[in-house]
This record gives sequence, C-alpha cells and structure tokens, in this order.
Amino acid sequence: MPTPPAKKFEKLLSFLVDRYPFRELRALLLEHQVEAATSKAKLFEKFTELTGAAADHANEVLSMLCADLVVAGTKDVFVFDLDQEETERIAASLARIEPSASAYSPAYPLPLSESELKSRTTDHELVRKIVYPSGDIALVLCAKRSQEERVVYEYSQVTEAVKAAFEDFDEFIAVRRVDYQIFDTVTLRKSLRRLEVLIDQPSRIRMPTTSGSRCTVVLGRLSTLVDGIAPLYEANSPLNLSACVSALYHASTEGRVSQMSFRAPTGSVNRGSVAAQDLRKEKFHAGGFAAVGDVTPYDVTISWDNLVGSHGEVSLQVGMPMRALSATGGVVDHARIIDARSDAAIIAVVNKLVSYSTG
Amino acid sequence: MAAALHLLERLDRTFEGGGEGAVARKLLSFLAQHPTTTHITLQLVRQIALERSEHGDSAVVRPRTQVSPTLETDAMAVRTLQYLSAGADGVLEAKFELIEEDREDLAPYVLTDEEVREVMAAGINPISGEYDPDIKRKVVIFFAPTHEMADLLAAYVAGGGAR
Repeated sequence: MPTPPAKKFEKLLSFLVDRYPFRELRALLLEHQVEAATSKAKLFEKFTELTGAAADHANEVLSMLCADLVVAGTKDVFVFDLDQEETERIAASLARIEPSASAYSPAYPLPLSESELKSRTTDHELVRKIVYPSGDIALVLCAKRSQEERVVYEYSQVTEAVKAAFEDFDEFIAVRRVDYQIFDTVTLRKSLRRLEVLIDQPSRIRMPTTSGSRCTVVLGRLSTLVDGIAPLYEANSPLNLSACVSALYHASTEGRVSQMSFRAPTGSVNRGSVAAQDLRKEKFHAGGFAAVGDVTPYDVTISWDNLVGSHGEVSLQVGMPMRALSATGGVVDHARIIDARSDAAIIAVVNKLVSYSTG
Repeated sequence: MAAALHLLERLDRTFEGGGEGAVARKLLSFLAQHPTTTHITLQLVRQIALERSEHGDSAVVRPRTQVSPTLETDAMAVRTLQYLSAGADGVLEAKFELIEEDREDLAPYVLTDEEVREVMAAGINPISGEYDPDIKRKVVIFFAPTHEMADLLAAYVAGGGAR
C-alpha cells in the first residue's frame, strides 16, 4: 500500500478532531497503537511525519474511526417501534436497495471539501448501505447544511473606507456562511423491531429547524425509496421518551449522572454537574436529596464507561421543558447520544431508552 | 387524623379501590416524612406513585394497562391530586406559577390568585406588566400542603398511616 499522503491524514484527523473531544480521541488512538500527541497541533505534525508501515497502520485506524463516527458520534436519536409486518416489509425493501453513485460517495466516510460542498443542495442523498452481521441494516444519507459565523469588529478595527461609510456606528458584525456536511443515519434493528433515525451534528441545528423537523425530512426522503417507511412518515410519532428522564436518574445502577436540571419539592430550581463521578453520589447533591426526599429531574445526562457489547465511554442526554413536570401527556420525542464510538454503543444506549420509556 | 382517614376512605370508595387511594397514601406518607415539601408537581407524584416499596417487592402502584403507561399513571396522579385538593377539607391547595424558560435568569414566579385571573383574562405578564400572547402556555399548576395539613399528617403518622 502506498504511503498515504499527508493531505489525507489531515482530512481524516480534521474530521475526527471536529467530532471527538481531544482527550477521547487521544485515548482512542493509543488504544489502537497509534502514536498520539498532547495537543492538536502536535498530533497533526506527528501524522505528517509517519512513513511506511506506521503510516499504513495509522491510515487504517483513522479510516476505521471515521467510518464508525459516521454512524455513531454525537447524534439525536428518534426511535420508532415497529410491528412484525412493518419490520419485514422494511427489511425486504432495504435488502433490495443499493445506493446509486452520489457526489458524496468518493470522499465517504469523509465529508466533501468546503468548495465541493458549495455546489451541493440541502436535499438528502443516499450514500451508503451498511449491513451488520446481526442482520441490522443502516442507510447513511448525506446533505449540505449551512451555519452562520459572526465576527464583531470595533470601530477602530475596520478600514478607513468602512469608517467613512458608517461614521456613527460603534461596531460592525460580519456574517460568514459556513457549509458543512451531515451524515444522517436510519437503522433498522430487525430482531428488536425498531427503526432508529439518527440526526447528525445536532448542536449545529438552529431554529426554526429542529432535530424533529430534520427527522421528518429524512423519513420523507426515505419514504420514496423504501417500502414501509411512508406510514411512519405520515404518523410521525416516535417513541415517547419522557419517562426516561426521571427513570434513568432514579435507576442508581445506570451509569453516572454527569449533569442534570431538576426541581426540589421545596420549590427551588437547580442545576448540577460533576466530572468523572456520579452526581447522585456526590456529597452535596446526595445530602440535599436526603433532606427533601426526592427531586424531579427535567434534563439528565448520563455517562456509561463500557456498555455491554460496546467499548469506551458514551453519554446520553434526555430532557424536556421544566413546565412539563406539571403537565400530563408530555412528549419527549428524541434524546441525544454523545460521543458514541460505534454502532454497538448506539444499540446499547437505545436499548436503555426503550426499556426506561415505560417509567 | 379522623379527617385524613375519612378523606382516604372516601377516595377509596370513589375510585372503587383503584390506584388513586394507594397513590394518595404514598403521597401523604412522603409528606409526613418530608414536611418541608411545599411544591408538589405531577411528576413528583408520579415518581412517588411508582416508587418501589421499602421491602423491595414490586411497585405498589402500577398502571392498570400497558397501552400507555405514562398517560395512565399521569391520569391517576391527576385524579388523586384533584381529590386531595378539592373541597373545604382538602389537604392540598392548587397554586400556579409562571415559568419563562427562555429567560434562564428568571426563577419560576408563584402567582397570586389575582395575578392568575389577570393572566388568564387579559394575557398580561405580571412580571413585565405587558401583554404576552404566549403567557397562558407559561403558567403551570402545582400543589402545596394546606396550613391545616401539618397537624393532620402528624396525627396520621402517629396512627400508623405512613407506611
């Protein structure tokens, strides 16, 4: 295998650095016997210096991590329960489907460059079908999205020409539109009879778009390609996860609560967060809990170190508006899976959601 | 004590031994153990209702059906709260608060009866004094023990009611 060019390493690393906390990425590389570094700059430098077998191995590991990230990483998940007939219908259709050539295909699992993305549209294109040994099937759909970046300049920072044109202004706001590629994924869990829609890079979504509207767009696109999806698209009723918020917090054996927002029976509104330990057992929180008897969480983030079948830390955030604590029939249609390393971690976390969704 | 027990007996009769009586007993027991409680939401009642007993046996109160367990438990909790806050001998009183979730700097604001009327009739935000077309969406109900309840609970616990 020829030594991969430095440019390719740069692309692979940029993709990973954008989507993984650096600490996590460093640990991952070390796990795969790839030499890591203590800063992003040094990491890029180290990879460009690799040659021969070390470069080949690094290329293989980085490519694998990127491919895993496409179907995992940080995503908002919507879960749709299916009956046997629906499952078989969708499975049969997915078995037949083969993605046609797409502009996104040559670079996959990496995103297109910024200049290549400019000519793409916001319409989802089916780019890859993944068939897992378990029989589960995932479809990866790519599209372009844009984000506005704002830079504020003081009056003294702009050119004389701008000053002359805008004499009475104090500061200037420059807006730059940045395009990025999304990898939304739809996975059929045949034996578990459910469909998962995973919305990529959810933290970049801005109103009026929501994860929910993106999920609808994805299902709408798929309903023209996959038999059996149209009824799900029309009903648009993913599994209600509202019960998971309280149930996961109160299940003391489930992971570590790293962040939560809650109300106490004494009326106060509270937020707590703790790194690398369980907030439920943290002295201040536990003492407060014991004093008031119980608390009602409305937003919880839980982290697990190693879930069954998966490797590495993965977190789950599920929440609802505070006022939903007082309402009947509250609906939470999605949860956020954070830093999942692979599809195995996604299955494990969604299994938790499903099992706690009944309270 | 007699009033509390009478209330629970009536509740059992009204709901023909359904889960509401058990929910009420668990809630009263919780309040007896935690007399600082002043803010009872539907979610708190649901949690208390679904809590496993101290002896580790299965949940004392479970929804009757599995069709929509969340809704079923919610409905049971609502009926219990309505019952416990109804009439002159209610042990809870209904209150309302304003929650402006898009304003993180504002803590929930407990509304007076007059403010509730003004909000509902005229859509006026009592904090800003201005019309807010979304104001009704921001008003939520909660329940608080009545003044008389502390004495009742003490007697109820003394009588072995808090199990």
